[in-house]
Amino acid sequence: MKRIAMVAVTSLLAGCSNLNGSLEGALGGDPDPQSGQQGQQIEVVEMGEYQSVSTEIATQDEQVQGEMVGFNNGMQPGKPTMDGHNPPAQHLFFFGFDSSTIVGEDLEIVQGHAAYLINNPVMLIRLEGHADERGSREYNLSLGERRAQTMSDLLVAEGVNPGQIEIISYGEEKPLEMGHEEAFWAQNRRVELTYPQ
Amino acid sequence: MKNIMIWLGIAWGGLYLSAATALEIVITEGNEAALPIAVAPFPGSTIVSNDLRLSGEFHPLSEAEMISTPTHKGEVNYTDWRLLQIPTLVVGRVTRSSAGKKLLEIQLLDVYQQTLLAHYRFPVGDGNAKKMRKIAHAVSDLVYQKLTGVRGVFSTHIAYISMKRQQGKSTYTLEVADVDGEGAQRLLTSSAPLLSPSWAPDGKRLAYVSFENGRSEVWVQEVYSGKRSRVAYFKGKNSAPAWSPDGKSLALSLSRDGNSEIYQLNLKSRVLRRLTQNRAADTEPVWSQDGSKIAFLSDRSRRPQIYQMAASGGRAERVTFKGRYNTSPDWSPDGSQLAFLNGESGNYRIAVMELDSGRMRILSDNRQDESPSFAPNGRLIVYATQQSGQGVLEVVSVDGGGVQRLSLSGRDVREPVWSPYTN
Repeated sequence: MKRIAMVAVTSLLAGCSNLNGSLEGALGGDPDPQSGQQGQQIEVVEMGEYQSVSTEIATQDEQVQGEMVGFNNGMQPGKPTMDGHNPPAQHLFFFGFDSSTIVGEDLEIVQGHAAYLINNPVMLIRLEGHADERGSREYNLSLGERRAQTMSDLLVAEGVNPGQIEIISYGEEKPLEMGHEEAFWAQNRRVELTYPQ
Repeated sequence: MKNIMIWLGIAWGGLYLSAATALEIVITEGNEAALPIAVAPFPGSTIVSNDLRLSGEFHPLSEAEMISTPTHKGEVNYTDWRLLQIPTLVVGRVTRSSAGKKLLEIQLLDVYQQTLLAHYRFPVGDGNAKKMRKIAHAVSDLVYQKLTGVRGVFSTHIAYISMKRQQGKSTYTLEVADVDGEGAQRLLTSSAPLLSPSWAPDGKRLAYVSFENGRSEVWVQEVYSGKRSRVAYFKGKNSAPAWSPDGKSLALSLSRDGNSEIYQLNLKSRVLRRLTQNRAADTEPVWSQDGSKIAFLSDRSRRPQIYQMAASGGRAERVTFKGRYNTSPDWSPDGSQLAFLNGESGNYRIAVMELDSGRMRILSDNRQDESPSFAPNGRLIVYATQQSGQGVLEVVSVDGGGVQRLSLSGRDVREPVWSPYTN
């Protein structure tokens, strides 16, 4: 019953905000519909002729993904201070099963990030929501988005300009841990917060 | 007869040209009620045997148990088969037509009546392995239909996503295989996640979600040409594509207006219609075959449950009440049932519900099942599950009994979707 109550609270929170309206700028507009690349490797196979169209591009984006788990990107991780001169060092936030609630010390850390963003209005922040592997992949995509949205709502409530925030959900597709039990799942229900400069 | 020959000539011509690793079938649970049958040896007879076993409705005799191996009616000693308590026998041989063309001649015999139930001839062409496999599936379809009165699904296909991790890097592929797991073909390979494949009703296009641009967007790809286009790339999440039965629209889950809602996107006019409106997550839409209704997942009741509404949107009616986690709906082809994922006490299993009576049955018996998809004849459901930490596919008979696993070594296989009939 507990997890259900938490979901209820957070879905209301998500519902009240209208952040995405101002996200378009942060997302960089509307990319070329046919490009389909941006650092990913894509190979399309034609069934009829079997010609493989292989686009080999440096996997820049994927590498960044891999590194973003920590805090690199040229940012100097500071202490979790509220002065807004440095962002707090903590960039990973974990959630309960089927929950998108941020509690306790994590709240203060998020406030530290808010202070930094308010102090540095040109900085953008990327919130990547994730879920554990159990259940429906599509529902987990929604759940990951809701977790990132909850964090975004908190930042905005602190005074961050919604245009500085980019939200993305990977659902259960990018687990931090590959195991199949709760100890691993707990690590995978998370939001990763990065400064993608 | 004529129809069959024409179809064999044109269908799935290029499908077997490149090969991914074949899936292998493991029978995990037999069906007590399966009918005994024997398929005497002929080119492709093993495939016919496997197909009939896969249906869950037949229990084919192994070749080793056969007393004799006739190839046509004139060679059959009915006493041999009565001794083995085999009521139905399939025999076959390669012959030549009057014009000198090679034919596979198949006869279906009633052992107790000693009568010919059906007689088919298939042009073999050059008799290469792919061609013979296709013919064998066609034989299975005809035998199945003759004996059950229901159309067979052995010439249809299953699309799925497979994932391989190597040195910390993941590779995702969209693949299509025969229903017996053979002839697996890669349609798309990507270093970014692929998910939620969905067959167009013509069986010639697939919609799916790709993260290749760093976020979830919906693409449509032609199966034969490989030609693909990005169809939904609104701000926020673009996911859960499902085709309208007329093939003109996709139902989608988009978060462009704040949170996950169901939309209908006309692929030609690009007109987007919002179908749901509430603060909960609405996703996984799926159209009923007659186009009148859409079933979908919503957590508006604070738990993920399945709802249905008119395809034009409006008031939604909750469908599932049993269990706190019901997701991933799929309509049976006749619209009378929904298959879905039921989560209860940490176990995620495949369930079906009769919509009229509300009667629900659990079909699978694992801990982490996902993604049920009906075969086009409504008799079988394919779904994904975990075996030793690896994703595998299983096929279960809707009437209960008979579970078969399609496993692919070294890779994670998931999100199977059964194709419609393509001929």
